[in-house]
Amino acid sequence: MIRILIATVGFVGAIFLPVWVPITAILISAFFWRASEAMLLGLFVDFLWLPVGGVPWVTLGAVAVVWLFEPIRSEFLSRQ
Amino acid sequence: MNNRRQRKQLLIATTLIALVLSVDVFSGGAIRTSLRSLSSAAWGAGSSVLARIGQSGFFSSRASLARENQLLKEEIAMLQLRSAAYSALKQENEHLRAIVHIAQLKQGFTAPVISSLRASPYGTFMIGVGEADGVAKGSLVVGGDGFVIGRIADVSPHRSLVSEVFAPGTSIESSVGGTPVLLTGRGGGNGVGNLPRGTSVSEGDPVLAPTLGQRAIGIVGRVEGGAASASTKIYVRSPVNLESLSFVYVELAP
Repeated sequence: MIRILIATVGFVGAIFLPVWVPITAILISAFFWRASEAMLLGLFVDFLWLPVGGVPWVTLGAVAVVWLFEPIRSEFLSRQ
Repeated sequence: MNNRRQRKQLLIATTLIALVLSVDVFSGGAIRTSLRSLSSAAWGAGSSVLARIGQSGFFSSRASLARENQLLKEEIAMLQLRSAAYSALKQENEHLRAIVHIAQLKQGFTAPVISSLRASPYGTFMIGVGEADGVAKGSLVVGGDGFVIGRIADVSPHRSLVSEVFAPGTSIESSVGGTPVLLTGRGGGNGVGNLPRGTSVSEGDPVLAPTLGQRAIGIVGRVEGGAASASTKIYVRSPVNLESLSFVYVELAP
């Protein structure tokens, strides 16, 4: 439930709110869960705001944090 | 076992993300165009709901204070804008006198802003005109009193994505009082740059961009560095209040 709420806030925030809202949602989701929605949220932000041909930094960042947090999640957190 | 399966699912999701991104890039932005159209519809609906809540009087005391504060800010901004616009026009006039043969008539039209101006990490926003209206990639987007605020970065049939002049991390060649300076964008209509020591510059001086046809892009907001400093640091800001922008002027390419 919390996971869905965070993702929803992230997606809505990508349209209406300052950029730190979806970025925080990506970080929290990626830290606590194997969150493919975090990568999807990164892609959503880039598709909305990045001109074609630009480097999709938010998507790359989301993919990076999802995979970088993987060892921490596996080691310390039960919710995966 | 379950752990391995979940990791595999994550790997598949990552591959799918890469695939969707590639398909969009190779199709010239087909997916993002559809997504932007949905987003601007959501933005329009959301804005009108918020406006109705504001008008309902539910937050009346807070709203009235905020309105008064906003009015005062706008008044100050307008006075600064007028002063800067006068200086910019004066300088532009001198420039045009010197090279009168390049004077051109700028054609264009007013376009509504159809997205948030603070949600983008790339200093972009959407406007409600597109290819069907004659907008082309690279067209200049102008705010109040002729200050350039951005360029068209992406065009779809009925909407366009504008990239701000001072988008975060971007650089733009500019000049202050005839001295060239490379400004780095900080987003929100702000930029920063370094002038050689001893350059005569003061707050309120207009900043022009040679790459945009010597058009005004901002004013000097703050000057840092004394006689002992190796250079003079200037903070430039656009006098156009990007937060409250609802319409812009798009200049059609000549």
